[in-house]
Amino acid sequence: MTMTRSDDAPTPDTAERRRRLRGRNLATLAALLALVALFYLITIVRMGAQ
Amino acid sequence: MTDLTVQRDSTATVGDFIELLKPRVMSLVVFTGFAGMVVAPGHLHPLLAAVAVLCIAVGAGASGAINMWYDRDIDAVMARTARRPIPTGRVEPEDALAFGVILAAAAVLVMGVAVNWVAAGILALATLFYVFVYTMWLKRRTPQNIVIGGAAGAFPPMIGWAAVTGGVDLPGIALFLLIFLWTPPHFWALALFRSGDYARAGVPMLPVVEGPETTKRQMLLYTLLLLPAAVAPYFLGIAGIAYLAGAAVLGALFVLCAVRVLNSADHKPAKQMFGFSILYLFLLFALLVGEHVVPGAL
Repeated sequence: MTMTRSDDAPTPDTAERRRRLRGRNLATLAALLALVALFYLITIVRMGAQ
Repeated sequence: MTDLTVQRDSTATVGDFIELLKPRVMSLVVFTGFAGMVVAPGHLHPLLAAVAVLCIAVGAGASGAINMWYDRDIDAVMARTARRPIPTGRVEPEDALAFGVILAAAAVLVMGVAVNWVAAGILALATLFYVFVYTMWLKRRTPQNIVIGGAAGAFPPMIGWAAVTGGVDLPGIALFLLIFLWTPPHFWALALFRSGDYARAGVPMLPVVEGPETTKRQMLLYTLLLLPAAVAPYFLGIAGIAYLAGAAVLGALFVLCAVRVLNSADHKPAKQMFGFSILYLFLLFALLVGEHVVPGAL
């Protein structure tokens, strides 16, 4: 017997659940972009100090 | 053959993950870390100083998230913590653990790369101490849990100091000692009016194990020990006369709070002392910072 609930029979996707998931994904994206910007700025500052 | 892949129905919001970071605790940690940077001799580029504060905040928050993962069983039975994201089922325990570990590692690495590795090392030590020594080892075993474990919360000003100077000096240690001695009366005041909660959860806080009278005497002892520790920054040359006067007055008021708690049978003075203890530490470090940022104040 093969049961793959995540693909074949997904849990009921309510609008609320999708909204929360989207919020988390956007927050992760924002955190990653902020980290990239932060490392860029740190590099500029540290190179300027040398 | 059975292949059962069940998707977890996680309903956690961004706010739930932020709650895992214990933002209220984090604010005092950030402020004391910032104060350590302000009073330290030397110069740190404002961006790197901001990164250092961010790393201290994230490191402290990450420790809080790992603490919530480990303590999810006792959090569920304590009224003060039962509404936290894991006991309420809003965040899966393993998600909280992964979130905490990744943030802790990131905070240490960024601190090391951007600021210096001494500050990063102390940040790592503080995180490991909070998770392994306090949360996993001491908290459920001894009434001295928050005395020894309190060291974890005392590291931030030392981290701030190390971020600027690249080392650990006597004034940084003095700021560490200040928070270290402040922690027991602060937490025992809370434990006095929450002792039922702690007893139900099986956490051997001092009021649960030794009773309220012993706890109250210990609280008074620590507020008295805090008096010389709080004025030490003046004698070590990192604080001025305004700080000295403020530390003396606030210290006397803290002792007065402890005496009121000792002489009272109800919980009201303990609640007031808990509130005052937060104000005490905030004002003390605000004076320290104020003298360094207001020209001519030091």
